[in-house]
Amino acid sequence: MIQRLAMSARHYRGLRENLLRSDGKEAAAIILCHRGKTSDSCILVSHCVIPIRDVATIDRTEVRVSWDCNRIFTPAFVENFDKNLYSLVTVHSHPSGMRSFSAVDDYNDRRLFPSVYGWHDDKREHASAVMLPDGKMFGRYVDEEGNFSDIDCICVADHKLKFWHSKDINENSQIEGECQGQIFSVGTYSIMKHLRIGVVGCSGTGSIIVEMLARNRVGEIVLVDDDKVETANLNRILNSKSGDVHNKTPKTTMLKKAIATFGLGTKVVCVNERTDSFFAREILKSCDVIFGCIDSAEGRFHLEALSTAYLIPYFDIGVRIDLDQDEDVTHAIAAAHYVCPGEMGLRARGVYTAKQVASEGLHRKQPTLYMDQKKRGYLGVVEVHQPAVISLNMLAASLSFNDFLARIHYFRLDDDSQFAVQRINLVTGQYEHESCDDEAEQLFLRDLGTGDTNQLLINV
Amino acid sequence: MENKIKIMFGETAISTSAGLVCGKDIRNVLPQFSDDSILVLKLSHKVEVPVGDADYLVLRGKEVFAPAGQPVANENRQMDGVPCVQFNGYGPGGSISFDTAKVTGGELKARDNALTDCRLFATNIPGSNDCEIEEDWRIILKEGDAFITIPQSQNGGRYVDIEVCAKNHRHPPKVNEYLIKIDKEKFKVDKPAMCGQDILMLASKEPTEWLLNQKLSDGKRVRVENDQVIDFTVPGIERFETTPKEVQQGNSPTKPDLHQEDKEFLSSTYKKWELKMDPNAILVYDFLLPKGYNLEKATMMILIPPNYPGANFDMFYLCPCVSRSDGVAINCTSKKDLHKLIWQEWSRHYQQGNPLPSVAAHVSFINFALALEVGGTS
Repeated sequence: MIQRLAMSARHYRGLRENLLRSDGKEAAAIILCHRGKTSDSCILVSHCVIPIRDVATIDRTEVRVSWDCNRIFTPAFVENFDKNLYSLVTVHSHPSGMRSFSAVDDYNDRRLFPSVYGWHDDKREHASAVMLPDGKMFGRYVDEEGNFSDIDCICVADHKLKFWHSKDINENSQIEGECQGQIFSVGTYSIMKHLRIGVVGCSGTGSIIVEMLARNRVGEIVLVDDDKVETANLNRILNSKSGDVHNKTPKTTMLKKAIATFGLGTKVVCVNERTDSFFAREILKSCDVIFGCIDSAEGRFHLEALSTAYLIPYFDIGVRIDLDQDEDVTHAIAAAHYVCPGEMGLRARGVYTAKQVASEGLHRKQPTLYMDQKKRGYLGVVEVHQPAVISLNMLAASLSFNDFLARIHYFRLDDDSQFAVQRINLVTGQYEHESCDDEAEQLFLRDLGTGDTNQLLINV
Repeated sequence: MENKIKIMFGETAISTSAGLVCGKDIRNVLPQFSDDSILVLKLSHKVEVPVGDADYLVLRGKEVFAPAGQPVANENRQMDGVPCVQFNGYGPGGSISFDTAKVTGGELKARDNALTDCRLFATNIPGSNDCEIEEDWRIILKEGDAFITIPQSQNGGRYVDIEVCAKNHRHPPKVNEYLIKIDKEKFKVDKPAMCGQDILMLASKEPTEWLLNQKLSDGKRVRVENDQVIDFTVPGIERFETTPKEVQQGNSPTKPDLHQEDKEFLSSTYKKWELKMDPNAILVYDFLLPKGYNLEKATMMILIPPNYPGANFDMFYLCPCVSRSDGVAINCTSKKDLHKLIWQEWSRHYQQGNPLPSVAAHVSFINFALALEVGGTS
């Protein structure tokens, strides 16, 4: 069972501020989390952070903090905790830099957590974590009997991505890009090898992202696409061959076979579905990062919803070529978006609209109603046949992949928040980038960090 | 189970139960039979077999007993006319015969060439479960007797493992204790038949979310419906396999759901409302209409679009169809047949999509549209 703790940018920043105090003494906080459960993983997703302020603290020294449970775990708190199906994560700082739990921590967790399990009847997981002076974190799940099991990865979906793997925490590894000479080689590999990355859409842009991920030796790729390789794909899908067309090979299988031939050890999971499938979404929610390489509005909505509910960093790749009546190119744009859960998403940026989502949903689930509404002119869907060009696809995919690398190695001069969207327009010869750090739309904010209790994906 | 039968003792008919009994039990139901007399079973007009206290036999009805007419020389002599009995009649074996009237469990078991260590059951007992026969029991063979053997259970347990029976091509006996395999785990059950739903629940799988198959010994898989009863005595069932139902694929109907805030709004505003499936919709009963219509209230329906709340509500429906009191026709309405009713579809659309769709907002929109139609808004 893979065990993770995922935090939103805002929560992590708040936590850090509260835990790393200038007086160099220990401090504590509580995170109320929702859960994402799949067959092979459990993710605790931060929903709300409760700092333990001085008024509730009994004593704070450089090596110890004790706080008053009476003030925090009030009857009202416990009622709320039970009703909202929360998981509890306690966090404290180790200003001394100790990279493991102390005997005091063990004693405390063994006393506290069995009680916490008594606050609810249903099955939940709870955990305990530590923040080091540099902001890194490590932690452990604590079960009903007080047994500990490491949290495999604690991650923060901020403009700079953070992944702290339990296996690395005791090594002096340059995880946060301290040694830039190791970027793009050993340093990249040390991060990539622990990641499970979902690539939704395995066509023009998807196959290129997959190539880049695999050759960078990512630990695991989840491929999501329900399509088979066709003749029309051969002009741009990497690794596709005429034999695949003849055999009607699914795109995911085709890529999996190709990756196996690289011999670089990447595990590949093929999901021959689209995002409207419950099973596809189940697997995607256990991913550390999602790359969206699709052109459907519905698909993007589903990925935004997953990103919001499970706090998964979401990279979206888009290309657009417009031709006029004379078949001259009027626009040729490669676009790469990064969506930070809790901040302005693709819908807010105008990448897709709710109307398109409604229309595509209708087309998929109620085709007769769709045709009826289309005839009556309600849908306003314009079918545009866009030419697909491998060189533009590669430009877009690289733009996005390099953005991903920048967010794990922190090599940009400007703040990474300035690069929420990047566009290259081949017709005008422009490169532009923008920030999109306004708060997310209420529709998404309402379900930020809600995990399996999210109400965005209840009617897919 | 109806297993009352009649046996004869001399000329007298005696009512008793069918089943595997021993000589002592028979004596107890016979009237005025002294302990030192010998009881015999008349196999035919000429053949009599003495029934000792510890001898077993299967009572099926119409057996004829009598006190011994003459002293019995050899208790278990060899003779002709010993009835053939069925032995694993459903599988290898068929009928077998012996030359003595009484045989031990061990001797019967020895007739199974395939299994060295097995358990023996007397089967086909009217109105009764099958009965296990121990190695050292002596049983009197009669017309109509049938026996089956199954492999010994692991750990010598009493439970009948139907997977082991199927793999060895043996017919499971009809008992009350079975070990059935669901996916990788074996479960104890205490009845000879179970419905699909109960089998799933035994394996802690929700019948609404999981499908059940039987795996037969020829490798075939047969679906088991929730209410279908599976008889564990039917030979060839190796195990059961569960598969999760596909909840969100095109062909499977999905239950619609609403955001918590929507549900709270509906429950606090209306006495009666419900969700319907295919097409997914919210039905509000006794929805009040503003003045100016021929009816005071009607049932109102809002279709829940796929991807709600990522997609907006649109239009609304009333049943029965309403008309304006002033007789003027209502524009942009049409009739639609949904959920077995005729609805009046009101084609009213948002100018601009609501970024945070909600039932409350759409109800406001509907009330506005209804009021606007009859000139009620300023």
